[in-house]
This record gives sequence, structure tokens and C-alpha cells, in this order.
Amino acid sequence: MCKDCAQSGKYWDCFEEILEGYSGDKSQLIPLLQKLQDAYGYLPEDIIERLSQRTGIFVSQIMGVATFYSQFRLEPVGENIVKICFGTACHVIGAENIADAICRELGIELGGTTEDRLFTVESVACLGCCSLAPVITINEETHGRLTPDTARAAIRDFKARKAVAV
Amino acid sequence: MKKIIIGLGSCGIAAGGLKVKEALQNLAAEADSGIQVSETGCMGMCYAEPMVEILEDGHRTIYGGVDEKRAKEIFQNHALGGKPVADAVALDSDGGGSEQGFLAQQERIVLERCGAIDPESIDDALAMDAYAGLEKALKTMTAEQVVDEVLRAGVKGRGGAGFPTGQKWKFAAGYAAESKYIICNADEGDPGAFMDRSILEGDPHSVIEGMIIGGYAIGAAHGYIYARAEYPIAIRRLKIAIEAAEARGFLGKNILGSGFDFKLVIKEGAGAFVCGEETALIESIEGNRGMPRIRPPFPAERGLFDKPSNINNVETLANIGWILRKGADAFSAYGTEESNGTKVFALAGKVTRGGLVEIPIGMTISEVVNEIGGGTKDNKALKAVQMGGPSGGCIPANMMDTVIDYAPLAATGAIMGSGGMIVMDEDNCMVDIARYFLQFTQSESCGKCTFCKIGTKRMLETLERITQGKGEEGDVEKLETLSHQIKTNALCGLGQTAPNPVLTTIRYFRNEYDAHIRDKKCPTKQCKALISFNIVSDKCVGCTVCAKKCPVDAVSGKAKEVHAIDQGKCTKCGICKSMCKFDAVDIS
Amino acid sequence: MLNIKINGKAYQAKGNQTVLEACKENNVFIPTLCHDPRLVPFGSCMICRVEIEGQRGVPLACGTQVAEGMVITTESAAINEARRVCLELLASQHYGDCVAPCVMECPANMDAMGYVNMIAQGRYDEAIPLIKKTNPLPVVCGRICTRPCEKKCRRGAFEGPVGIAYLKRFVADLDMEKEQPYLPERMPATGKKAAIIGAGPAGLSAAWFLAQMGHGVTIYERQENPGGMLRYGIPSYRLPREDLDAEVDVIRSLGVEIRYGVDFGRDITVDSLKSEGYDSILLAVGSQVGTSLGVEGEEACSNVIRGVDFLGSVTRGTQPDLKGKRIAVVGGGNTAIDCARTALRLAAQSVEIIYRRTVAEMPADDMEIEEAQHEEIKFNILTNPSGVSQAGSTVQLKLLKMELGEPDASGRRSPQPVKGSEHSVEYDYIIAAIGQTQDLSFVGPDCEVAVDKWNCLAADSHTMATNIDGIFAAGDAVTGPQTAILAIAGGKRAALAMDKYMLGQPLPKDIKLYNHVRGSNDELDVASFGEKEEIAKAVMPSLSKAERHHSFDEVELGFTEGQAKLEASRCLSCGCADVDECKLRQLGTTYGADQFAMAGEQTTHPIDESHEYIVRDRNKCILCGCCVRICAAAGVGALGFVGRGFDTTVEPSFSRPLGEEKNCIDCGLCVSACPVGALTPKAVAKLPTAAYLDLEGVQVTSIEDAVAQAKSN
Repeated sequence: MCKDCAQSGKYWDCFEEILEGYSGDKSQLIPLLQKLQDAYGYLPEDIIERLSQRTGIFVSQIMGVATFYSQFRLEPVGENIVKICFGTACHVIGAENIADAICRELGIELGGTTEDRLFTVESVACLGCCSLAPVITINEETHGRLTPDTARAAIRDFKARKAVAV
Repeated sequence: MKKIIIGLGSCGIAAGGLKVKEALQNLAAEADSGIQVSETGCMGMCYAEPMVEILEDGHRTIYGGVDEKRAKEIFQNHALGGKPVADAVALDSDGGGSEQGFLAQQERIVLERCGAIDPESIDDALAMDAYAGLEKALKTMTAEQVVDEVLRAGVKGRGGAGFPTGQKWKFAAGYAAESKYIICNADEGDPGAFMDRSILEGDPHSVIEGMIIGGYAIGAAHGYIYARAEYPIAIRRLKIAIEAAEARGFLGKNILGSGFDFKLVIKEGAGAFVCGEETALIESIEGNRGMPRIRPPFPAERGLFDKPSNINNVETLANIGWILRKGADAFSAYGTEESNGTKVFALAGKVTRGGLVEIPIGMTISEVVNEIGGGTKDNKALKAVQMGGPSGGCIPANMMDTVIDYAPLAATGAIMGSGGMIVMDEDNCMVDIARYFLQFTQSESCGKCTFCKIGTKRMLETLERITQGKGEEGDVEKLETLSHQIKTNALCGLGQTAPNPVLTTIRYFRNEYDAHIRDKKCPTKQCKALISFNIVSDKCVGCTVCAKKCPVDAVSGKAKEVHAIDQGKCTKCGICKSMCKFDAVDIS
Repeated sequence: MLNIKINGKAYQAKGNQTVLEACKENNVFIPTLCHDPRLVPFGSCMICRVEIEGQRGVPLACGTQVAEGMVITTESAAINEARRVCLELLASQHYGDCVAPCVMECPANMDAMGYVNMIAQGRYDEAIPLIKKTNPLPVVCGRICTRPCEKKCRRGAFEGPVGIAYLKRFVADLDMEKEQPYLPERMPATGKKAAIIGAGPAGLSAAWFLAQMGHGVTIYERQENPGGMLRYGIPSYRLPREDLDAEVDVIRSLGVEIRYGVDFGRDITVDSLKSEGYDSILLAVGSQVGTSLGVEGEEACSNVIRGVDFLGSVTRGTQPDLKGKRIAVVGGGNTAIDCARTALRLAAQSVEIIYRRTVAEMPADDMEIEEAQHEEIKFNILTNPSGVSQAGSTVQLKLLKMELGEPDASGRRSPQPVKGSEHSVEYDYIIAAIGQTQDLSFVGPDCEVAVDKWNCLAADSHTMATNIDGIFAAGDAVTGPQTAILAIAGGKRAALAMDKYMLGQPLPKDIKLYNHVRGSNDELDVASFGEKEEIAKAVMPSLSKAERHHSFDEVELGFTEGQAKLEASRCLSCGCADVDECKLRQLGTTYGADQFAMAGEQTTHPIDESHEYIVRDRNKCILCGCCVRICAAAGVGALGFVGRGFDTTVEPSFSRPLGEEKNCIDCGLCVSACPVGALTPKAVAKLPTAAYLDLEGVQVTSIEDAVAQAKSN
């Protein structure tokens, strides 16, 4: 949505936009956090603080929710998110080796972000493509039936296409 | 008029379906043939994705394993030339094609429209009787009659526990309140199952119809679909479907002139397996941490926003429209004495034909795995089938004649579950499988109750020790004791069923535990702490393939000389072994 | 009202009650950790599970409504096992010491953490009553105690243990300087009388406690002065006699009579005491007979003296003239060191300690050994006498060199003689300080108390009762030669039992309390204590080597007030502030939980002391959620859960220190709701709800009252 707002001095505009329709319904907390994360890439402290002021939901409670669900991030992530499926089918067919190959390729640990902030690698419980195990996603792209070799190739290919696009 | 349909469920996309679609669209545009290129959801044959269908005057020809090159061939020979590419046909309407075996024993109630319609087109769905059950219910039946019909159909909860759906509706209908809720649990949590995703992606209207009927039956004017955020395609198609249903008057005020109002909202989950538990799901919709509540009170009495609520899972609801349309008797023609209807399974793992399978309840596991699934891959011996995911268990090969029904499966220590069915072969270490599931439940434990929060952690630590060769005599007994305590005393279903994968593997594969503990050996050579890779010098020809492929440069050696593996560097990924054409890499 | 059955008995309950409430009202105990009557049931601890007829599984008592005809079982083997496992699981992720190791390790369980903290705060007048609750001889123990407490002190994992004994001495000496040193209240006279044989530490201790309990107490002492081994076995440069006498005088001033020069078994007997109207007797006769060297020729040598006899003779002034003499002391215990240092002060020409193992194996206290080395006493190790013969006014001591062989049953490597190493050395005196035994010559038809195989009186380890009704025993007579503090502890236990005995009540039971520990200092998670300023361990001012020469003046001079306060401030207060109210401990005791049964990974956190009134120790949090829920119910919302699963914690906003929490209104509700020591008050008076809910769930302050009080402050 507006990850560059901070630079353009419109940091709070997205926030206001998202909160515009907020009616005081506290059950909206999770959708609000989802939208804020979409906009800011993660959930910065000042955003949570302001959210608490606007909604009357305690910071302690917002943090409770934000740290409970694995979707929410409290630290900035890389531009591109690689998700490695660790579902049962992927596990029995070798997800660990795929993760190992990708992490080695990018030079980071699982859960980490590359120094150039291009990639964050996360593990996910299941992407629901079990018959094509092992599976990963790079942003919206899904890659299945991987081997450590093809997983590496998928990352390199993605990088190359990004480079061309730039 | 010919139509080309590409299977674009998540599986199809993962297998490269988007590229195939793009290629076909380009070809159609170039040829200026007027041939329409559209998409559909999952046909169930995930193993054969990407799949392309040529539809001509109701005659279907379905191709499997289509890449861009094959697509071009199919377009030119079949779409333009009218001549099917015979060797690539998976199925056709005349009963031909190489993959008829996959479908032969299936019965499609829930998946009736999956793979046959464009999920983003309500007209497609309506053409195949979507909302006909709703119309019948609203126009010809009272709410009680709907509940009775569902009761009579005998459909049980397809989310795992198997509680009769009609009974559940009856409870919720029995509590008077100014507002009530019906909730669809689409937080498919079993990490190895994708039935709900496929249904939502392939035929979202079936679930919407089920919810509206359910709302009518229990007196709820509000519905929530709690969907996994990891299923973006499903959520997008659901949104499209809800809008279309609203536009056609199936949702909103005074539906079909019946005076019944129903509003449907999607709530995206945010990543917590425990939210598949009813009360945790309710907490989550209310905007809280998904920590389960004490039961009783049950949601039927006091649920969402403290109002009477009814929760059903996706597959359960997808049955409802069919039941109302065709009647309880038609439904109960399928299944066993105890359980009517069909069950959808996500067949995956070491199986030849993995995919989405809908079978009448009462088939044996063997029929599903061997006949529909085509048995294990690469002629490996079948070892076990995992059913029910983290809450289920591993059923050993010698029990493949077990009938797929709630009670017989429960007797094995596994459960019917939501439909995950993972096939394991001789290479899978059962202690590692137990450890895998425990690691999953432990990381997904909400942290509320003592037994789950700390108990599963202690179990996991014990299993980790065993797989690392640090197991001790008495560990298995300790696991059993702790399992018993957790099963009895944990607060919610997540905790109470967490020990099942451990208990079933101990029950059927105790020898593997003992080998790890007593001999410090992993019989299947899977546990990395207990194995090492070595090059057999009299087999190695020095082809250098392993050295080139090793991701950590642990293999060294000159061309045409025997290679060697540096054990200090080796991460035991097994690539060298899988690459060696001379069987010169040995695991010890 | 509803009719229900609990454990087979009929009761009535109100319709709106939960099973937990109904049971509580009917005085049927159901344990709970996460339930607070001020809050709605939560269901996190899972310990209140009960069985209800006709219901599946084991429902939670806190969340289940009673119903007419309900049949409830609150106790069964299965329920109790589940509760025990539940507690063991919680314990496995609980990090702390219920009781500070110094207190646990002290044989008398002196509240060292308590009085050290009082000293740190300058509350000296409160420290003495606390000390004298467990030990009437702090002036003595502050000087001569072997300090097992300090060996376990948690500060030992930092710069070094707190000088607990020196601090005790400091505050005890202050008290003795007063015109009227502290005297506890005496309870009204009971009319019962106890006779105590022996005015050593065990006898004096028993007398002190019996007198406080209102009993008449007479001590019969064989010697002419009080103190037993404190006087006749410990040299005056370590324990000046006037200090000992002053402390005994305090005991006497409580109404204890001491009769000297009375020999039990000869001058008085059990029968004579009974006929004098004594209702119970304590045998605290000590261990006062030195053991012989056990080598050939010893009996014929007049210049071989036994250690205890030598030290006794010095006290009485009847010792041989050692001026310019060559002395050998055989033995490696405290008595040997005392003998050697005493001989040096009597102007001996040379003093040598002969010991068959090495210094490392010496049973003497390290500090004593160091002092001896400092005073230039020679250590002749790996040497053992094999014979002795008088040669005029000198003795020839035959010695064998030794080497250490395989470890024996005690784990110590046993010394073996080196072949052909025998040699002879001439000395003027040999002092044999190799052990002591008990003079139990009074045992006979008059006093048929059982004696064990070590020639000790056999007594119950908790009540100190002997086999003879009304006769108790304590001190070295029961344990063999041991430390003063052990004897003092035994004396107190005997007094507590004698009190019950004389009042015709059952003797005290030995209840094993659940005591959680952080483990040994070697494996201590130092970081969990938070940032600690480094403060060097205080050095005891003492006489110089020259000043000690030929002098029996006290070597150690005592701390200055400044030293004492600073040293006391080093205490980490590692014992739990909630120790007496903690439900985990109470239930752990009730259900016999084993801290280590479910041991595994533990997550630890630094203790948060940032808040003005509250100490937050997440290491002890059991995640019951009481604080989070009560804080939210109060509309404050300062605390919340963070994370999930095993790693969940309770945190203020953004997991910052509690002292920085903007929402906190200091109402203290969280402290009042915490069932364990995770949230404890720093300053009780400031918090409106300083009290805790007890095990029965007594409500202290309502949420509304607490918030109102906090807001008006």
C-alpha cells in the first residue's frame, strides 16, 4: 500500500486511512492489525501506540494479540518473503533439506532477513499444496515438487527477474 | 464451440498452471480462433497438475502434466485441429484416458462442482444447481424441518470430532436469543491437508449455501467464515462469491422473498492452529488471543459475543446444499450403518497419485491408498498412513484393511480427522514423525493450560533426545505417562489429542523407539544425529557429480579418483547419495 | 438450595455457585492456582479438576456450575496424581529458591536472609529477635560457626559469599553492649519442669526455648563453668570467655538456673530428678573424651596429651609449660588446628601438624587452616605416626610417609603407608587431636537409654526423643563431635518436643515442605538476578601476626557499622518473598511434588525491580493469568500475555520494565492476585492491597476498592 510513506512525510496518512471507518468495535483489532501490517510491512511501536489511543484497546492487549498470531511481525522484513512449507507431506519428503538449501543460498538462518533486506525466509505450517510437496512460496509465487537444486534455482531465477525489472 | 479450461487451484498454480494459461491465451489470441480460455478450481488430481481441459459440446477431454510445450501441441492438434493428443489424455467423458483409476471409486457430493465450474462465476455454479437446496429450504420448509432433514441425513462433523451436525444445529436452535451466529471454521490447521482450501477455491458457493441454510435452521442472521490467512486464493474467491450471492439475492435482506435475512462476513485468521478449536476461534473473531475457554458453557449456549453460536467446518457445510436439494435419503444411500455420506481426503506423501479424493465412508484405507492413490512411489514398501494430522495417528501397513469410519479409525488410535492422509514408506522414521508432530503442536500451543504448554514441551524434549541418540531406558514409559496426563487434563482438543501421534507410533513401532534408545541407531537412517554419509571406495568412479552438487563443499576428490566426504562439513542432506549413479554413497 | 453430594457426603449448594465455590463453602478443599474469586473462571492451571458422575472426562471445578443431585468426587488416586503431575510441570518451568540456600543449609534454619537484610537497612533492633528465634548464642556463633550458610550463599557465584556469620556477630555484639540485651517474652508458667544435663550449646539452646514456653528449666553441669565445648574445646583467642559468659547470662536472665559441679549418674540420677518433680529430661552431655593415637607405646608416654584435654587444661590454666618446646599435633580437624594455634600462643618453639592425607582433605575449616598457615604453623602432610616412646622429658615419634590410594567408600582417597619410609622424630609433646567420643558412663539400670553403634545416644532425628519415655537427647551426645550450630538446632527441636510431651500433647511431626531450588551455584543463572553492582567482600579486621604472638587476645576484631551495612547490602535476597503464602509451595507440599520429575529446558529472565513498589520476577510466573485479568478488570490494562506456548510471558506494554508502565496506577491488585512469588510488594505500606489471597481464597480487597484507593493516593 504505502511502504514509502515514511520517506514522503506521509507516515501517518495510511494509519488515518485505515482507521477512518473504525466504529469502536474492538473485535476489529485483528483486521486492523492486518491492514496496518500490509501498509507498513510490520507493526511498528508508534503505530501500535497510536492504535491503542484511537481504539481504547490497551497496548498490553494489542501486543498480546500481535505476538500470539504468527502472521504478525514486530520487526521490519525484507522486500520479498520466502515461505517454506513445513507441513507433514513436505516434512516426509524433505522440507528440511529445502530450507537448508535456501538459507544457504541466501546466507541467512530460517526466520532471518538478508543484509540487503531483499529476502526474509520464514517457515509456515502448511501451504496446503501437499500433493506437490515440498513447496515454497516467493511472495505470491508458489513453487512445488522441489529438490534442493531446484529450490536454489527458483531463488536465483527470482533474483534475476527482479534485476531485469529494475 | 470449444472452451479451454485450466485448473488453477493452488496446486495447479504451484505446478506452473499460470504459465500454461498465459501460453494458451497467447495462442488463442494469435490464432484468432474465438476459443475461450478460462479457469477452474482443483479437479483433485494434484499429482497431474497442471491440467488442461478441452470442452466441446459437453464433451470433456482432460490433459495432465501440461507444460508450455505440451500446451502448444494440445492447442494446435486438439483445439484447432480437432484431434486429441492421445498419449497425454488423462480423462475423457467417454471413460478413456490414463487416469480413470483415480476417479473410478470416488463419489462426488462435496466436490460435485470442483474442477467443473469457474469458481469465480456464479452462473457456472447455478448451472450446476447451486442454491437449489437453499431455495427449497426457504420456500418449502420450516427451520425445524431443515434441522430434521439434516438430522435424518446423519451427516457428522467433518472437522474431526464427528459430532452429528443436525444435533448441533438442534442445540443452537434451542437457545432463544435476539442474535445468534453461525460460523464456518475454515481455519484448516492440519499441516498436511487441503480439503477445505480446495473446496473454497473450487466451489465457494457450496459453503455459502450451507451457511445460509444453517443460519435459517438455527435462527442466526449473521455468519462468519473464519479462514486461514495462508489461503489467499480461497479468500479472494470467497469474497467474489459472496458479492455475487448478494447481487443475486441469496444473501442480504429477505432472501428469495422468504423474509429471512442473512449477512456473511469473512474473518481472516492470523496464523494460529489452535483457532481451529471452537472457543479459541470465537476468541479470535472477538479480536483476542486465540486461547480456548472452559467448556461448558458450550458455544451453542454461549458462544460468539456470548450469544448462541454454531460452528461447522467447510466440508460439513459443503454437504448441506446437496442434502437439502436431493434429500436425506439420497445422502444416506452413501456410507455405512453408522456414518452416512462421503469424506474428502487430502492424499499426499509417498503416494503415486496424490490429490483430493472423495469417497463414500466405509471404504478401506487400502482401497484409497493403493487403488485410488496407486500405491507408494518408486516401489518402496508402505509403512504407515498418517490420518488426522497432529491430532491423529499412524496406522501401520498391516492394518490397511481398516474401514474408514469414525469408530474403527478411533480404535486404531488415529482419528478420522479433517481428512489429511499422509502415506509413509520404508524410508520414514516413525520416531521422527512423532517428534515432528509434537514440535508442531508444541509450537502451536496457546500457552494457557499447564498440561499442553509445559507437558508437550517435555514430551518434545524427550523425543528430541531419542532422535539424537541420547534416549534413556524409561523414556518411552515417561512419554506414555505424560501422554495419558495430557490427554485427560489439557483444556482443549489441541492438547488432549497432541499425544496421539506419539502413542500410535509407540503402539505400532515400539521397535524403532528401542533401536534409537538402546542401539543409538535410526533403522531408516533418517535421524541426522545418528547417521553419517560415506563413499564406498570400490564403487566410486570419480565422476565428480557428488562433489559438484554438495551444497557445503564437503565432498572432495579429483576426477577419476575415489572421493571422500568431510564429516565435519557434511550436513547430511543426502544430495550426494541421490545424485550418485553408481550407488557409491553409503549411509552408516 | 440444591442438594449435592461431595465425596459421598450430602451437602447443600446455592444455585448460582460453581463446584469450587460450593465445595469451599462446605469446607471441602479443592486446590486452585488460577482462580481468584474476584475474577471470572479462566481455566489455565488445570489443578481443580474433579470427577462428576455422568460427565465425560474430568471437569474443572472453577468453571462448572453445580446442579441438583450432582455427585462430585474431589479426591481420588487419579485426581491426586494428575494434580501432582500438574504441579511438577509448573515447577519445571519455575526458577527460584523458596528459601534462601543460607537458611536451608543452616542446621538451625536461621533466617540469615532476614537478619542480613535488616542489618543492611540499619534495623539492628529487629535483627536480634529474628536471630534469637532460632539461636540464643549469636555472639558465639558469629565467631566460631563453621558457616555452612556461606558455602551455599548465592552471592558466592558473584564476588564471593556474604559474610553472614560476621554480620551476625556485629549485630549480636551491638546487642550485648546494651544495658539490657534483648529478652523475648516468656509465656505464662506451665508449672512443668525440665532438667537438662549439660550446659553446652545443645543444653543452653533447649533451655532458652523451654523457658520461653513457660516451663521451669534447670541445667546440671559437671564443670564449674557453662559452655561445654565452647569453653573447654575452643581457644579464647577465637571466643573470648567474657563474651561467652555474657551470652549465657542472657539465657539465665530468662529464668534458666544452672547448677555446676553436678555429675549426672553419680550426683543425680533419672530417679532423683523424677522425685524432684522434673517432667522431662534432656541429655545434652556432649562428646568430651579425646581418642587415643592408637599406636604402640602411647600408654607409657606422659608427654602424649589428647587434644580436648589440652584445650580444657588451657581454659582452666592447668596446662603444661610449652615455652620453648617442640610440639607435634596429630590430626586434621578443627581441634588439631586449635591445639596448634594455642600451643604457638603458649610460646612453643615449634608447632607442627601431622596429618596422613593432604591439606585438601583436612576436615578442618578452610578459614581455620588459612589462619594456621598465616601463623606459620608447619603442616607435615602425608605422614602418620606408627609408634611412640618416652625418652626422658622428650618423646620419639615414629612416623611413616603415606601416599593416597584408591578412593574409599566415603569418596576420599585412603592413605597407604610408603614401604620403608619409617623414621623417627623427637618432640617435647605430642598432642593427639584425632577424634572424640562420648562418656556415656551414666547409661545403666537407672538410665536405660539406647546407644547406637557409634557410641552415641539414639534419638529420633526430629523430636530427639530417646527410647525412654520423657527422656530426650541432643547435641554431640547424639551426633558425635559436630558443630555448635548443629547442637543448637538439636536443642531447639528437643525443646519443642519436650514442650509437647510435658503438656501431654502429641510430639511434633516432621513435615517435609516443598522447597524449590535454583540448583547449585555452579549452575546458577547469574543473569536472572539482573544487573548487580560489584561490591568486594568485606575483609574482617584482625590482629597482625606480631600482635597474635604469644597472645590469647581475640584475633578477629569485628566489623565497623559501615562495613556491616555494605556487606549486608550484598545479599541478593534470593529466598522468595512469597515463601509463606505461595500456593505452588503449599500445594507442592500437599501433593508431594518433585521439582525435578519433569525437568527440562527453562526460560529465565532478569528480575525486574524497576517499579517503586513491586518486584516482578518472571522466573516464578506460572502463567495463571490472574494479574493480567485483574489488571484488565480494574480497567488499568498494564499487563498482558506476550508470545504463545511454552515461551509465553506476562509483560507490561511493549515488554518494557514495569517501572516504565504508563498505565500502572500502583493499586497492587496484581500482587494480591499472584498465587506465587512472581509479583511481590517492595513496600507493603504503600500498596492498598498488600495482602494475599490465602489457600482458601480469602478475598482481601475488592477490585473497586483497590482502584479507588490507588487513585486517591
